Amino acid sequence: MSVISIEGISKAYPNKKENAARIVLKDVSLEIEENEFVCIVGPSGCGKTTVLNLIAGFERPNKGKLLYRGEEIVGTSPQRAVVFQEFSLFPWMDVLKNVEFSIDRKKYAPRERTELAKKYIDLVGLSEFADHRPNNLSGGMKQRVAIARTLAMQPDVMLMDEPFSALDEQTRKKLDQEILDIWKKEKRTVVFITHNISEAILLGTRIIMLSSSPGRIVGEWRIGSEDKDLNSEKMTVLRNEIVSRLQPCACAGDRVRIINIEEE
Amino acid sequence: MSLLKSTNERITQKMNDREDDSDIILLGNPAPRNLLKGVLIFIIGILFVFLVWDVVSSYYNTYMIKTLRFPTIRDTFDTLFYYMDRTHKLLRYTLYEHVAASMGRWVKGFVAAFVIGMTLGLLMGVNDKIYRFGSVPVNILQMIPGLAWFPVTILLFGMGNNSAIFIIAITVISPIAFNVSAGLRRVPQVNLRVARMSGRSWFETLTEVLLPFSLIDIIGGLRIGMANSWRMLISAEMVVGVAVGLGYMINQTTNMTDYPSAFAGIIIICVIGLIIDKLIFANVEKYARNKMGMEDSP
Ligand SMILES: Nc1ncnc2c1ncn2[C@@H]1O[C@H](COP(=O)(O)OP(=O)(O)OP(=O)(O)O)[C@@H](O)[C@H]1O
Ligand SMILES: [Mg+2]
Repeated sequence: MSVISIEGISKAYPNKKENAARIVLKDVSLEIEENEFVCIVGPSGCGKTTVLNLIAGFERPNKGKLLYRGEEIVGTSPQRAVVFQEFSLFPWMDVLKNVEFSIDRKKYAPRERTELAKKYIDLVGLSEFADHRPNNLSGGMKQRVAIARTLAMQPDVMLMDEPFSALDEQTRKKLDQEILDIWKKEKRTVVFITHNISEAILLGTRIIMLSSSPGRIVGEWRIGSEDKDLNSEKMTVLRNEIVSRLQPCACAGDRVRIINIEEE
Repeated sequence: MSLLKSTNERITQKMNDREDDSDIILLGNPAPRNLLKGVLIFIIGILFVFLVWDVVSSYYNTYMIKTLRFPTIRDTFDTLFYYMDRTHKLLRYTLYEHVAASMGRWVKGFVAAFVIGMTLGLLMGVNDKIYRFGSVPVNILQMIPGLAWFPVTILLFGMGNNSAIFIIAITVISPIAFNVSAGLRRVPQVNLRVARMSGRSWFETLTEVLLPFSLIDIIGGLRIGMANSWRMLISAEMVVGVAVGLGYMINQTTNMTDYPSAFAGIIIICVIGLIIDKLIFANVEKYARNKMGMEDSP
């Protein structure tokens, strides 16, 4: 049984006047198997975050359905945890408290929660800053706290929305490696959104490409989980192929599909 | 005046004046400086008010009708100090009894408004449908000026104490309710999603995420409500027929053309209002801001 199965979903959002809705995702189907590392790439605004929101259970599709281990996804669950694209920490909590917040209170005693939080803060290299407030951290450090928070939840499926896009190249590479290690060690299923094709090739066992307006799956590459040498001939060819298939973003004036909700 | 210089101006000055060439420029502990600056600005403000008062009163007393005297600063404070002596009564009560009566009504009215306003604000803040329906009556409430409640309160409570309390309460319910609900509705969606994703219950989300996020707005609402209710109290006491209190005192002494006493009453109102707002609420707000990580804390 797939961990996540997305069965022919479509999703539309209303415009501001609420007299029409724009289709953001159209007939998207995707099976994600146990222990896969799926990278989703695609132009800005094509609906990548929307896919993640649907899997996480924050939003419901307008057509089709999503299953998590055979059960329809109707709401959120700590088993499907997200690292958000935008700033999502609580400003009044220090780093430790922010990470502790998301750890299951029924399963762990307060002491254990602190231990667990510390372990993952250490993993993202922020032990020294455990008592700092988010306001006093750099953008990249904030994002690492968000990653530690999601890791500390020890979810079955990790949904990561461009988690490293705010980081410098060095830190990004280090954290990429970190995520790979965790994924290999802890046997998780990961859905990872990125604009960085090299990153997608390095991390992913599979790469999914979405087109924009409306978002649908237009490309899929299975790469496997063995260690990859990004500079090898094979990977360079693959990267060039993926890059050449990327369209410009939806904002570049493509045709926009509108469905009218007034008529219904 | 060097005390009023901005921090950047001081850095510029120190950078140009100093002899050494280290990368750190010592500016000293800012706390006493800031306190002094605050006090200085406050004193200048007060002096300005007194200046205007002095000009108006001397102009009036020199060039206009002589049957009535416009109380000067001197007259007013002499009267104030005279009545600060407990043995001197004004309208059957000591000054302290007038103040206590007003404060008592104010506290009761404010507490009632706090309970109702918070409840309404919470309900409207957490639920979109309640907000849409609730904001209509709360908006209507907001449109009615305090003293326009006079006919309503006379019917409900008759003349006297309870009417004053009612007028205070009814006028500050809406600012509190609106600020609380606006604060709750401003909480970023992503933070609510973090709570949902982490399996927090509805109640935990309210107490651990929504309320801390909107604390500053809630305090802001209470602060506005406080100022409104304090002003409202004085006007209410003038019309609803109470026999003790600052508003009553000002009204009666004015009727008796005892203007220095009326002015003394106004001074007391200002002082109490300033203490509550500038000393208490401003500091609570500052503390909360810092505590909530809204401002960079050292
Ligand atoms: N809540 C919403 N209401 C209305 N429109 C929305 C909403 N969320 C997303 N959209 C629209 O849906 C489209 C897809 O958005 P989404 O956030 O999924 O894009 P994305 O692929 O994650 O883009 P990026 O790479 O820039 O993060 C966009 O055109 C966006 O304007
Ligand atoms: Mg996105």
